[in-house]
Amino acid sequence: MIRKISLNDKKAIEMSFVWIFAIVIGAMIVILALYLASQLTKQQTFQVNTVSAKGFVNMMDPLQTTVEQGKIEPVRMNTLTKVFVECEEDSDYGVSKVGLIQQTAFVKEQKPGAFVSIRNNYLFSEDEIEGKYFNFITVPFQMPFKAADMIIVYSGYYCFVNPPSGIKSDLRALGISNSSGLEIKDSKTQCSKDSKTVCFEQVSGCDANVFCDGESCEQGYVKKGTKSLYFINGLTSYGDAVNSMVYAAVFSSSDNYNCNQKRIFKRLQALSSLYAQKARFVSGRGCNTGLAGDLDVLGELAGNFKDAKDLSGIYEKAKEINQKNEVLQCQLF
Amino acid sequence: MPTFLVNHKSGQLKMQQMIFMIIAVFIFFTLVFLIYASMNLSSLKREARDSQTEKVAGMVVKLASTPEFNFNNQPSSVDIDKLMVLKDKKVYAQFLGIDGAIIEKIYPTSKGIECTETNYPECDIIRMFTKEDIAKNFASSAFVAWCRKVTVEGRSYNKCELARMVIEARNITGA
Repeated sequence: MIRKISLNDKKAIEMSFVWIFAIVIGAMIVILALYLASQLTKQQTFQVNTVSAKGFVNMMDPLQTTVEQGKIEPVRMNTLTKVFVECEEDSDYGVSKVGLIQQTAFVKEQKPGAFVSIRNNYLFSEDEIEGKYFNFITVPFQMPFKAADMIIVYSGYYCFVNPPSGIKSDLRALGISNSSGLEIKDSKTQCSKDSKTVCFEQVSGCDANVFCDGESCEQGYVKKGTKSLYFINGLTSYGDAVNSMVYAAVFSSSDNYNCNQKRIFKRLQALSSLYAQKARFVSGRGCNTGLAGDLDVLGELAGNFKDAKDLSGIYEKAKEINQKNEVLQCQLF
Repeated sequence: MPTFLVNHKSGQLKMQQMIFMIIAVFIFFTLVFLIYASMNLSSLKREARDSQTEKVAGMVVKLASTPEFNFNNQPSSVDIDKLMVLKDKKVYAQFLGIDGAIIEKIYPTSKGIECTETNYPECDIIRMFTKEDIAKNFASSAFVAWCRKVTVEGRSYNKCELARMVIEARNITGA
């Protein structure tokens, strides 16, 4: 059936219903396609960032110390990378978590991929670090036996101003070079312009000020803005102090440092218990150490660690155990 | 006065054609998306499996360096006295990111005797956190030094023998 329609409006655009229908549906398809494409890109970016975070974490696996006292390993990423580091305490030993954003030309605004957890590593760093070059410092924490390897991650340049001789020789032993982003200077004015300054005396305008008890820097604190991060250094098997936590305090955020410090002391508690059980186990087999009681006390002190005032008690007990172990014919560790 | 002529039947037919076309296009793109998603998922699974294998391979050496296993800060050495204390404490398995580990002395000789508190140190195999053998698919092994303190006539020394450590790690995401 054919029907005649008359319209008076001369400005009307002539368009059949089929065309209108096609335009509406076509627009819907295009919008849906664009939406799906953007979602797919986001998902791909999330996936890439997650895989990269896993790769970043896997890089830490070989960074374990055994005979050596510590090392710096430089790592170069393919693109500008932002690393997010979180630390969580839980009922067990807590976890370090790493999330990552790799900048791409297509997606500017990004969220990090899934965070990758590491249970038996202690990752000290600022909450967010950005760069193409990263450095990993691995230092053992011995109290008095090795409790953990501390992995310190940083990016950019740090200038250590007038450090005590112990820190100076430590940094040289770790292997400072251009690629490590570390330099030692006598005064703040000699530091590179883009470096963060770490001063070892009361100098104003430094990014961090380190206050050591004595030339060997056994104990002390790092002041960053209004926050003070207290540290206690480990012991060598000969009973000397070995600087380890001071570096963790310098390169970490306050929350990250305090959380990881608690995690390490939890591990020390478990290891003290393990060594105490070992002492009892071997005592019946011709190796009587008599250290089980002291190790139980050390475990208790480490387990009760809450803040800086508990540090010296742990240090003194560890030193005492170390001295007793040193003179044993059958040493426990 | 302008005049429009509308053919109802041909309009309905065109709309039907278009709807069929849109459904066909939609189904086509859905199929393409599903094929892409399944390919993507399988490549992701492969990547995860490769990453797992790679990680397990490196874990044996790493495990021998952990303070719970290591002997006197010596590389690739395990302290058998510590392992005897640890071997039934499954809480450490989760922390270390493994399901189980078997350390077997292979040199100078091995009679295949499993270590217990009663026969130690006259034994050759320590099973950590597991009573069963380790499935080969999830296993990785390395040579390590089997070390302990020995006291003879009041004098102590470190005795190390050659051993193989096999670990099983099915889910190591948190390690």
